[in-house]
Amino acid sequence: MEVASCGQCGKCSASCPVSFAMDILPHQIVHLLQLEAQQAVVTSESLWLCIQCGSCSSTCPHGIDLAGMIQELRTVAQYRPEVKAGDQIRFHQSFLRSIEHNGRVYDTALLVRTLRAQGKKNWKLVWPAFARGKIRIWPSRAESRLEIKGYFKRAWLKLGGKHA
Amino acid sequence: MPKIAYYPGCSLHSTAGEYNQSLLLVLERLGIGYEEVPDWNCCGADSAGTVDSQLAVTLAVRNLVQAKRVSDIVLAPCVHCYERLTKGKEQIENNPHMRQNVAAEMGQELEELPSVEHALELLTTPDVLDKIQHYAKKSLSGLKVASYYGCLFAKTPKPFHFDEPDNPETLDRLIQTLGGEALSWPYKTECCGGNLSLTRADVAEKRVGRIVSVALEWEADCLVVACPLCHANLDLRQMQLWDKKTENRIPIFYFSQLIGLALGFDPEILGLRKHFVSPGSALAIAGIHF
Ligand code: SF4
Ligand code: SF4
Repeated sequence: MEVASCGQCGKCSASCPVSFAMDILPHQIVHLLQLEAQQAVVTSESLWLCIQCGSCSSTCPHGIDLAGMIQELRTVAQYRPEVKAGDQIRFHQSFLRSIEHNGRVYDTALLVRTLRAQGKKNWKLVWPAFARGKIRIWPSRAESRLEIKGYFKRAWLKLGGKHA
Repeated sequence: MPKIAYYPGCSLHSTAGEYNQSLLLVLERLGIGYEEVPDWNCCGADSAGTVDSQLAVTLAVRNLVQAKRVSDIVLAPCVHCYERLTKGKEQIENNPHMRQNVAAEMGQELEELPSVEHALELLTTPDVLDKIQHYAKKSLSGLKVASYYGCLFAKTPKPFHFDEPDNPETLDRLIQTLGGEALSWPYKTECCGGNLSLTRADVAEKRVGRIVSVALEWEADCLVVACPLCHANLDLRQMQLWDKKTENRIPIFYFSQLIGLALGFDPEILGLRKHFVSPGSALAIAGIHF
């Protein structure tokens, strides 16, 4: 990774919309990678708080693509039990399961699974959303979902066969 | 104008039905022909890349291949789909290794892929703006609109930027064409935190609270967006904020709904009743009964 050129100017952290909630700030992630302290990075919550907005990458004066690196590191961090961001990981996995089975995201199932896992407050949004026709009852599906399932199979195998 | 391939994406088939509805009405009224991408699949959003970069590219590229069957241009109304499709195209064109792997996985050569356009890009070319002006039945005169781009440009690869990423003006030009007043406010490209909406509502809430209060400080009557995730997050999240006794609220429009209003469509048909924050106050300013 091209982290060597980072001069720790901190512009990435200043531009990050969610740095206020992070345990390790974006420029600190780059610094840890310079020190080859990957372990601290892949177990951080920051990795999963990142919303992939791309601000850090587009402001970095050295052209360091931190957003891209975070996405790469997630494939490593995915199954570490020590990772602190269970809700976010589960959300990504539910999302993927939905595509794997329908070829498209069935947001109703996704919503229910996510909210059930959290077992709390967000539920009260469901009825108003339903009443406004924002939640569909039947999934929208792609006909070639088997072909799409095949792509997932290869990807899961590469990850060591650990199915979401 | 040749027919375009329309890639609605999952959101426009569910939570953002009104974006879909209003956009298609506008395309039809302006005589822009379209055909849905045959048997499209989800673009994979940010999730596919958390498992495997090739999976992320393949999911996007399959849609491009499908789109090419009906047109040389594919239209994506969602910022996240737009990002995935443009990144997929960029990878196939610039990364021979990825191209080879994806072609092998899909069992076909990846011939020339279609060009990818965001709906905002297509509807704000000078020709289309002229057309809108020509067909307009109403002016949004008096309405102060804060244009909101979110991460549209920070997210997408540079060759696909159709505006200045730090200070974009596409939406502003559109608003002026429609007769409204485009505010030059500072939060045009602040990210709304939409991706954390379901898992870290606390973080998303802070982002939304901030964007809404700045827009109100600038005396905006409404916000206009070009992304279903921004809309869901900004509109729905305000409802939760009221529980916390904040008075602040501001209606959020899709840009296609504002075009639709100017073209004389009924607010109901444009899906304006589906919003959580009622747009009534803003419509009244523009003299539209709701
Ligand atoms: S903006 Fe770039 S150079 Fe500055 S701290 Fe971040 S990664 Fe390092
Ligand atoms: S891509 Fe992630 S780390 Fe970078 S600015 Fe956006 S949220 Fe922060």
